[in-house]
Amino acid sequence: MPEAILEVHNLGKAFGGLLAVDSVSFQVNQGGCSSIIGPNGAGKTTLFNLISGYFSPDSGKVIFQGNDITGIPIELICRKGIARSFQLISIFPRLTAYEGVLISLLSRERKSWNLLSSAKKFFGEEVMSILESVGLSDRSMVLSGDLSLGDQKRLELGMVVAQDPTLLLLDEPTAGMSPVERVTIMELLQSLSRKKDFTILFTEHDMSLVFSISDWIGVMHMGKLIAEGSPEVIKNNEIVKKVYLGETE
Amino acid sequence: MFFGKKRRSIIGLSLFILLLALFLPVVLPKFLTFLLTEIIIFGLFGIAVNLLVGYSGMVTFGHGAFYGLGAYTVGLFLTKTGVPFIVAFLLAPIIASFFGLIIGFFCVRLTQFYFAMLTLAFGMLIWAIIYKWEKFTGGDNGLVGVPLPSILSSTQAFYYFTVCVVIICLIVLWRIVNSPFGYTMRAIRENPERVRFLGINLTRYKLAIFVISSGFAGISGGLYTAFTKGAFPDYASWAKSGEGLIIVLIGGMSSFIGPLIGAAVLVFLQQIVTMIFQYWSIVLGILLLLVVLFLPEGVMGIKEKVRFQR
Repeated sequence: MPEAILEVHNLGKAFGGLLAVDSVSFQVNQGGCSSIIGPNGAGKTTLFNLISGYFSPDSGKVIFQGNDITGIPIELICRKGIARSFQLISIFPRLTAYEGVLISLLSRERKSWNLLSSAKKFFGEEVMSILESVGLSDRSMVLSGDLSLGDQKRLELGMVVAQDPTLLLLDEPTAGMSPVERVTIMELLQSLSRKKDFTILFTEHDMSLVFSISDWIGVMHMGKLIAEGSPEVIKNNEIVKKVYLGETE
Repeated sequence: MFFGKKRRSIIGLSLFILLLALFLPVVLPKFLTFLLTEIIIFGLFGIAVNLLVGYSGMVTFGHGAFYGLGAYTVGLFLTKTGVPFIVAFLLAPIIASFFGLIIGFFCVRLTQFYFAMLTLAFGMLIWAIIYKWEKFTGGDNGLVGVPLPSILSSTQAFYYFTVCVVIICLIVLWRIVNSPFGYTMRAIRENPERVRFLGINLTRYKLAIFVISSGFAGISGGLYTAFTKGAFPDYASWAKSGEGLIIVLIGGMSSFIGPLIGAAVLVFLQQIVTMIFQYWSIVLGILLLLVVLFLPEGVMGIKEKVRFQR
């Protein structure tokens, strides 16, 4: 029996009259890739925002590695080992790729309060090895905002991987990318996850991608989790076919 | 490995400026030495403001309050108590950053417009207290005849004192902006949300930046009181806060020494203009207009522009 790294119990969040997330429960096991799929507006991003502390849930609990992390501040959740990326890339546009990864490492190693040493003295090799691992070593001195969309995504991944997370939440990691780029990014993620030993939970639109790499899939529809299980189970689930797969095919 | 050449040129330039600064009063008339002192003091104030505005993306409209607090700390201690000058002077940044801690505690919880408005409100509050508390601060008349040690009484001696103090401040500030803390400041400017998701307690960092910046503003205010041998409510007014922003804007907020250049432009221009023309504000208004429209990166941005056009 694999160990659960993340447990979500009856999680709920309403915006006005809209139940964005409606008593969702599931668990994510240690290792590998899990994914949440669902049409636009199904509540996937809200679910991620609840897990990562961006919003406080109205009801329910989030348990990470056995600890209740419901409603605690973002930075504390992050310190416990949950890192995330955003659907709209979240980086530091006017800082270089090198500096972006460096700032992440400085935070992880709790050096950010150091006021008098030169930041350039820290982690030079580690920054370069992370940039290398996401394929940006030759663009380390380019301003993040000047990188191409795909490279910005790689940089964001580099910055979150630098946090050395146990669980990585990726909100549509391949949004706005070409099909070829999607595959490279997901392969990159899988190899990083094996090398650095973190679990991935991601949301995605591209069904072929999801079914090829996920160990577990949860399907959301109108705020509810309507099905969960292995890719095989999901493929053959009648309700999923009707509400979701049916629409796209 | 990336920074060798740049570093050498920075050190070279700093040495050149330092030698120039030390040599100038020997040849310059007293009046220009006087102006230079004023520029250096305003420059330090500008750099303190820029720590918030340019480096951390927190636009403050109330930093005149900390300049004023520094000014009145030196003024009050020297006129009302018998403490030595150096003690009064060292108390300026302490008192200013203490108030920075209290005021910042409330302000850093807000962002952008609301942050700016709250700093303005606190700034006006400090000014009003100084203005109204006549028995203690001298009110509208301010404090006059602040006693200085005789060693600092000549224009040149005070110039050298100012240069020494400001150089020490600049070295400390330079180290801060290039430290891990300084990099985190820039990250906060760029994307505060991402900073939180990297595990950083945003509020605490912003408060620390606010306190540090207030302290240096206090030092510049303290210097100015010693320079003019007096302290006046104007030093704490919102116009002073605005002046800090103008200095930053003219010099260029993405450059470390930009505000020093901004202060030079402002002080010299004001001298020249008021000699021939009555309405300085009109000239200042036009200058700001031109800077915002054509030089958003300030005087220090000209270098970049020229490089791109080549």
